[in-house]
Amino acid sequence: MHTSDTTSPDPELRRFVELSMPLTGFATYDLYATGMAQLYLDTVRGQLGASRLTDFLDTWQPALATVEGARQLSPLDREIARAVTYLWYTGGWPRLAPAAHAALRREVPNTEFVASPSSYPEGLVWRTFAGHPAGAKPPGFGTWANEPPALPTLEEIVEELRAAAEDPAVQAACAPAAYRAEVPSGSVPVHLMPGPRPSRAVAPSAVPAAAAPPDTEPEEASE
Amino acid sequence: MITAYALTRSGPKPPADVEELRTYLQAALEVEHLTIPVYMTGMYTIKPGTNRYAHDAIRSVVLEEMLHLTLAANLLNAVGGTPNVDNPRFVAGYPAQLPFSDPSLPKIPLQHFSPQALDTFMLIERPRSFVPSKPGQTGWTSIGQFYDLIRQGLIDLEEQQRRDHRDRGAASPTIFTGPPERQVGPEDFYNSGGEVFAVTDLKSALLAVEVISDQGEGVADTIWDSDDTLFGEERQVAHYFRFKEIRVGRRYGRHDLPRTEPSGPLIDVTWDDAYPIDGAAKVRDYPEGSQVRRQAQHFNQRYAYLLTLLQLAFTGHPGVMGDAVPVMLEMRDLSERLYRNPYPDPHLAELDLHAGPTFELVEEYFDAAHTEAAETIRARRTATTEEYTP
Amino acid sequence: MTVTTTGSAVNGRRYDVIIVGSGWAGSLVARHLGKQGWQVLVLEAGNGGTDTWAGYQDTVDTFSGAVIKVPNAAYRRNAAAPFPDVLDLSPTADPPGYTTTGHFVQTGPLPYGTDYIRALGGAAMHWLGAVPRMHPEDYATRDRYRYGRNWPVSAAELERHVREAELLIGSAGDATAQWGLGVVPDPDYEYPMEEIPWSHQDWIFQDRLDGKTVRDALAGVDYALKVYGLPQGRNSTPNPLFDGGYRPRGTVGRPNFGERCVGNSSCTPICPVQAKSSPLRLQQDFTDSVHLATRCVVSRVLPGRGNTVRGVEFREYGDPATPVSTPYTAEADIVVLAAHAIENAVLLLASEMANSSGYVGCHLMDHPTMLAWARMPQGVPVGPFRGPGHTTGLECFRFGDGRGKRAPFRIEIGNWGWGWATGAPLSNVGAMLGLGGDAKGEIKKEGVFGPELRNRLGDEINRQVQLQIAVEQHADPANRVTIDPRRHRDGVGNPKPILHYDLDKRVRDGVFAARKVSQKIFAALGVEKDFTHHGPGPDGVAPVGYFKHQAEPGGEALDLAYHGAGHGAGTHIMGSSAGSSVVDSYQRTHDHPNLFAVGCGSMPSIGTSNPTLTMAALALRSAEKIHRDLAELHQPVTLATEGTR
Repeated sequence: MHTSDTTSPDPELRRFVELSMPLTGFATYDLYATGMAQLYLDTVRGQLGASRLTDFLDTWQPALATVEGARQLSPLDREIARAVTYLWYTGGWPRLAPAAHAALRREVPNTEFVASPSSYPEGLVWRTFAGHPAGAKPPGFGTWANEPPALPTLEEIVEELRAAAEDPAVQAACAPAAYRAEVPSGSVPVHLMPGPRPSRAVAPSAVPAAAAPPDTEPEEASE
Repeated sequence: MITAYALTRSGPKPPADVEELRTYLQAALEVEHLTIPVYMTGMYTIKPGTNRYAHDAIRSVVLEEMLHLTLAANLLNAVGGTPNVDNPRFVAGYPAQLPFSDPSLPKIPLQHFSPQALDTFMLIERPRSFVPSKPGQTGWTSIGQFYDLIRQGLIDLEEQQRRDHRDRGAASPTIFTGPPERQVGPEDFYNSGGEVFAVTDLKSALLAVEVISDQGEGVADTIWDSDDTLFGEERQVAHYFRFKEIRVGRRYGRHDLPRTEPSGPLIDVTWDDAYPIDGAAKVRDYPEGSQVRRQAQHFNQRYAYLLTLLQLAFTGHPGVMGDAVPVMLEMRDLSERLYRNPYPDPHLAELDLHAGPTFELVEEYFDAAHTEAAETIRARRTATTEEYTP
Repeated sequence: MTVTTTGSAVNGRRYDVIIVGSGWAGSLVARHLGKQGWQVLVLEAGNGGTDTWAGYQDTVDTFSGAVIKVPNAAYRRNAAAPFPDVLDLSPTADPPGYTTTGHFVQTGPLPYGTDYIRALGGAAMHWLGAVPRMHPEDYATRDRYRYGRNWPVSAAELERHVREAELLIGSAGDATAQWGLGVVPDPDYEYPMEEIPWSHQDWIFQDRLDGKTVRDALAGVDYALKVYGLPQGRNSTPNPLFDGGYRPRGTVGRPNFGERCVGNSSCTPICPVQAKSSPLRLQQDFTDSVHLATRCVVSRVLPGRGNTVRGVEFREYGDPATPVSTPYTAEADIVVLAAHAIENAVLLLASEMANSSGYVGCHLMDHPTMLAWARMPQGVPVGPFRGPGHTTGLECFRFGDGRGKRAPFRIEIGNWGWGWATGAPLSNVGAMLGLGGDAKGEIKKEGVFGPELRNRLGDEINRQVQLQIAVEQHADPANRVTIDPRRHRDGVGNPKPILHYDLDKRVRDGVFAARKVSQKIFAALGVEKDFTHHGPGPDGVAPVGYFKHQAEPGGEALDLAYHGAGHGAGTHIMGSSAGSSVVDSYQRTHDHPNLFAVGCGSMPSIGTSNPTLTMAALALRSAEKIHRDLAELHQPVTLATEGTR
């Protein structure tokens, strides 16, 4: 359950973390700060196979350097990118699009699971709104009465990541050519919001969106 | 630590007057705080989900040090003094010389969770009966000896004041003349390793000194502290023995004595489940432009903010303690985040060395902290808030 | 400290009292009788271990590792003492309905969506910690509003016990506000602790709602909105005005922890620091004369001479994963069933006892809870997922004339965003990334990564508000628990509960009115968009608990849905007449002078208050009565009957 990276770090760990930065929008410092980097790398390898992960990183790195960014990725690679991001954000591996699950020929069930009881509290989603995970890292008596802290703007996050990419300790070329905004400003469109759960037994990654996307053309799960 | 080191140099003697007693109590604040960064480092370098017993035991000691710090502030306020915790000179540079002790003892470094760290912790909390009776060149043998002098000073000075009042027309019959509204009580401070209580007279003052020394080294010649009798809490062993349990990986049994080895059940201690750090690292050692350097600076700023809130809590705004506790919890998150990051030098990172807080505080941090503290207090919506202007 | 024992050790032994269940009711009765010096045996069907810090920590880990953080997420399943889980229910498409697996067999038109736990401390281990009082009118709805059942005991008679319950649970509240609300009769009353601070969101609601009026057209009443703090069984600042002072009690088995709520924001399923009160605290007060055995599932109450009972038969098991067990018996002068409303009913039915009225198992109640969720405008972050589950509510719809027209309801102002309704904030991540494929399983095209993902998630989640509206369900004999031992048994051979459940028109009208009112409240609040949706989803499947309802013939028809609130009640209902109720006002069964059934099962109505506090007060009242009964039994004048014992 707990990693045993006590002596010499995994040779792929640094690259995995650095290339996760543009996926997650969190600087390498924040990613290492979860304490879960090695566990997540092991989890992704377990789900995809070690070589498929390396292939993904080999594809993602040049895609980053283009203005298209993640749009450059094949549908399957994009679903992998989503799953890796979900892992960083929640501490759990998600249920994949069934088409992606089939295309990857995975032998594990396509169901969501939490990587470890220690990973759930390290999910980055709680940091996006300056909160804390339910049931961990409690902020102290009465803190819920305080005004929530101001959140960084998109520009500030982009700047933070640019500065992180120039950290002398960061080695991979992980600064994207451009950060493109996918959705217009204002509130996020409803198809990117979760809808009600049909039952309590629906795992978070399987909750249907609040509406179907305007463009209903799915992409092919070809590899 | 400036007061504690000055007193150390002048050698052991009971405080001669109330002014000197106040100096001793200011030194007591410094001494109690000295251990907190040391224990925090040991605790927060533990990897998530591992070494739970050890983590919880060290945490319990840190809480009790916070209690001691607060009780020392209550003592100092009670005798009309003013605690001073929000300046760079309050904090020791690490590795730090242990005050009121034999100067030939090794200095106290910041160390990650390890057998060496636990040895250091035990050195700090060493019961008086374990200390060689022959004093070192300064005449000091232990922190316990320092508290004995405070205890003696409290008794003697109170008695003298009472006589002066009776025989010589001194205005006050007591040395406990401090404003009672400066006392921090249990309504403001919780989970505090026992219970904070107001110091208003000799009886409560001696109790405060007793709590401070019993929790550390145990009730005379036992392994137990006095929380069960004083606070009705679960019985637990004193700091030194709590650390010894972790060090040897076994708990004390009901009938164990200070000089026997623990004979109770085994504790699951895995020394490898810790982030190795360079305890001597300073901010300047982290490369310019590195995220770790920025975050280490940020940590120090927040630590200064915590001390600033404590200063307010200790100087007439005890309700601010309610704002200080969440900042202590913030320090937990900030330090864990640093320890989990590789040392920002690829070669050292390759050796599995990790970053960490440096506890270096400078004047400008306190200036900014005072502004923020004023803001925090103004923003509080509760009706009990007192007005504060820096 | 608790004296623990085992089933085999107590086999054949005789006690003054046997108590079945170690939740709030059982622990309160055991604590009281132990202090009076009686020999008490507490038999807990579920697993123990949470009374140690390491054992408790294990449940926190179970919670952390659970994919879905439902109320039972922290507690492992138990094959020998099974219990229901909200995960047991799934929706069906055509016709809209539900299927269920697990502990309950369900036969009703609508699902009973409430769970409980069989473990040391009972369902109190996952309660939220809400301790609002019932209103005096809640005790007499038949007299005042011509529905439901009256209580055989009044609020005034219970007052002394309610106060004691508030002290023993360790309650924090604003007594003056509660007095203003009409639920605290004494203007000088004080709670042991100061009110739990309101969330930032609560203040926004107060700023925007207080003083505004909304009309409930169905009730025909205009309601002036006012935000009230919620009294909670949660550690807060000790109240200096409380008589004798109060020192908060923290974590069991660990010093210096849990003396205040530190804002873990996970009260249900589990408070990691135990600042939320639980029966584990009361069990710390057990005297040596109280013996507690876990993993002992009572299967039957044993008949004694005449109409008395003699003791209980139970099965002890070693491994919760495998229901291998050994039968034992124990005897007592008085037997107290305190095993949860539904389990008490099953036990009475299986024992063929206390049922001369035919009402054992009938009148099953809950608080059907409708969720309404919305997004605040940009620039109005509420800071969700912080603090206890809810710290304030809107109380005006609970009382008064509106009750004559539709079931009353209490509106909780939820502090945890859209968590209950949508699985937020984790589901926000999946939705914003475009994870999981479309309705056909194909990979989605749309989705957001990187700085935009982080930025937009923060902005969205920070504006989630949710109302949880708990509707009163009155006692209806058609909602009932039965057993069929020939067809439905659990792993150790005990009969499973068979539930038949529905919401009648009055309750459905209440849910309808709650939905209409929530729309107006959201409008008054100035939300950007109301996301509430109870109808069929994109795949055509309606959620569990769905129903379509028209309050008036020809009127508007609404898609509605409800969740269970975990407030099972009514199954051994209390009354003054043996012909129409199961227990008397002391929770003694009418049929058996030495058999008590305590807990929410006795409550003739549950109003719109979370029932724990009232149930605890009833348990304390019963404990006093049982003490008197025992004292009488042991008096020399009764020596003549001694030979029959």
